[in-house]
Amino acid sequence: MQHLTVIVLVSAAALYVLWSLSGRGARLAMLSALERVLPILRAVLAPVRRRLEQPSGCAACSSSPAQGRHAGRSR
Amino acid sequence: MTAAAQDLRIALIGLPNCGKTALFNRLTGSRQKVANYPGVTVERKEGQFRGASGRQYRVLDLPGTYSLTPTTLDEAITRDVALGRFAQEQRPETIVFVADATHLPLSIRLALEVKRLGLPMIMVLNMSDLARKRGFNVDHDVLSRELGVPVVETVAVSRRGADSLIATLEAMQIAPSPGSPAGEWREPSSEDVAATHLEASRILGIAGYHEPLRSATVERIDSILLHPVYGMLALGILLFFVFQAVFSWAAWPMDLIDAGVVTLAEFVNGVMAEGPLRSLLADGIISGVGSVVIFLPQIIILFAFILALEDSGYLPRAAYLLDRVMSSAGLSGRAFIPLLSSFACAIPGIMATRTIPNLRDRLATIMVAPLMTCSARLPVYALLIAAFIPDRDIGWFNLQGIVLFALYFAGVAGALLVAWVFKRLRRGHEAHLLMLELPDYQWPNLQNLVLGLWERIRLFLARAGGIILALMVLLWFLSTYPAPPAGASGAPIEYSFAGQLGYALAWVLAPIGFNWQIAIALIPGLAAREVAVAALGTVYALSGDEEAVTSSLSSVIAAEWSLATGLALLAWYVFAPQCLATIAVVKRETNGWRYPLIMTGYLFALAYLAAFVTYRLALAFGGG
Repeated sequence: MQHLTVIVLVSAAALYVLWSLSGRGARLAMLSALERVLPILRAVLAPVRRRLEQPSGCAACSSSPAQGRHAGRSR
Repeated sequence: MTAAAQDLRIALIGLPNCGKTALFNRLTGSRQKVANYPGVTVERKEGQFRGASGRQYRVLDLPGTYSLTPTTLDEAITRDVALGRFAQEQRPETIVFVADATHLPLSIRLALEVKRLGLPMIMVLNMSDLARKRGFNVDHDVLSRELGVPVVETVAVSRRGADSLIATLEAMQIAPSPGSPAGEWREPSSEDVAATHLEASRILGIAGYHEPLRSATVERIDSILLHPVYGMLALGILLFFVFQAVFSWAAWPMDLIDAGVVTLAEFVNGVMAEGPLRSLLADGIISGVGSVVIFLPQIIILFAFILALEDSGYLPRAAYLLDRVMSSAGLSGRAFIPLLSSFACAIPGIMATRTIPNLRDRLATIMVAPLMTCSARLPVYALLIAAFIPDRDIGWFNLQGIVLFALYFAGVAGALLVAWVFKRLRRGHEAHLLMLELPDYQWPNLQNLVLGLWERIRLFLARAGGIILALMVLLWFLSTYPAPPAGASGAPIEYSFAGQLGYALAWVLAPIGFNWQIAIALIPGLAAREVAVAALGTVYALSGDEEAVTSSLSSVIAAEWSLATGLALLAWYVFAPQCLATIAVVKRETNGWRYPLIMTGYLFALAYLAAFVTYRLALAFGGG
């Protein structure tokens, strides 16, 4: 029983660390893979996907170089 | 569908440090960070509340701005949200314009600019109690008539005013207009700006506004705190006192937590049958996570001081004092607040660089922000200081506190040195004058202080119970398996995956005095610095050393390591690269891998060099 509990705990910890240390792109890839393997989870994972897909920080701003525009352009 | 049934999106817009976030927290029950200096909010924040009619209001708290023609990235976010240009964010339907009642002229100019966006607007006169105390007098009816918007008085840090703002919003019965276009808004020309300035003066004139007198007490305090000599002296004494307090005041609660951790480990060992689960709980989780949790009292004391200083209005003055030092090193004076934020965590510090208008200044600040001593480094410092620096007084001062102060100072000195090198390397650097509003002094708000501290405690415990716990479970697994071969004479961990990895890395780290146990701890320490402490706790608990389970980690490493090794590890952590999350934020903020890679490279090189020099010097002086 101790061995089984340890296997579960170590596996869960490994998944948690992998998720925590991954960037947005890697998390989206993991999510897509999970949705492919277990399509039944698609609805449950939808809010997570929405949150990941929403641009945040500088990337969301029209002045961000990532958006191809700059604040000084229209001055 | 009736208007009451539909959500209404409200944007809070106003000058920096006018109390938008305090009002946002008051309206939505959120706990966003508030402080008495400009530039605290650099991202859009969202919250919601329900009015008496049952209508749901979505509130957007936006970074402060002086105009809708942005000069910094945080100001651009405000403009973009107001114009509906922000990615995947619908344009707000109403604007709550927050004005600092004690500094109206700039607010009225911005209000006139915002009103041209064509959205329904309410003007909130925040800090109205302070204005009244200073003899401020303005006719709200005239202001309302001339601006063509309702005017409401608030004191955002108390409930007063928030209710009348909600009542006004409800009475306006604004119809939702999802995704309404921004109309024909264009950036104002210099003629428009001049006309707006004149119009603002006219409105303030007929509303009976006159500039409030500056408090004589503030003048007297500033004459000392902003003095180039006395001011620097006061800043030095203040910081010195903070670091003394961190060590002196935290001793007994830390002893209490330490005793609790040891008792818990002994209890688990006593009640559970021998096996892998017992080892995981006692040696992996309790020893590892317990080694980090023990430093909570020191973190609370440090942040109590930082939060009180943030609320007091002193920090922008410190920025003013240090401007000359920073500009001589090639940093903008506006880098002070981001660098100060980095003492809590480099991530908000790096994000706060959005308030720096010049791109090169911003990049230089991002590159040195990790050298500020973040709170995750405090457990590492505290552990090593407790292990190797005697707990005795030198005059009035505690030696351990002096060493902690010196380590923080070394981080700042390192940042200035690196910034100076960047300045020499980049061409075309021009000096930028520091333009910073000095807020009034105020007594720290107890509620802000308690909420801020609670937020720090929550974050710390969430990390301890989240990523640190998970990493310790993994580290325990890697340090336990595979089992030692039959007839093995060493500790089982030496034959494990982690032990073998530690031995493989030891030759690289041997010149700086690090053993294989430290090598193991440095790897998970890349995920979060304090994990290194937890990892040492687990590694020594699994090393077969009974003392590691029954006594504190600091006494174990004091017995196992030389003084030279302890000092070298301290020097390593002054410069060692930040956690992976920080590197990811640098990548996001600079839109590429170039700067995070340069940063990681130079920090590793500096850390190795500093540890090497420290180790060799300590050996030469008999610390082997």
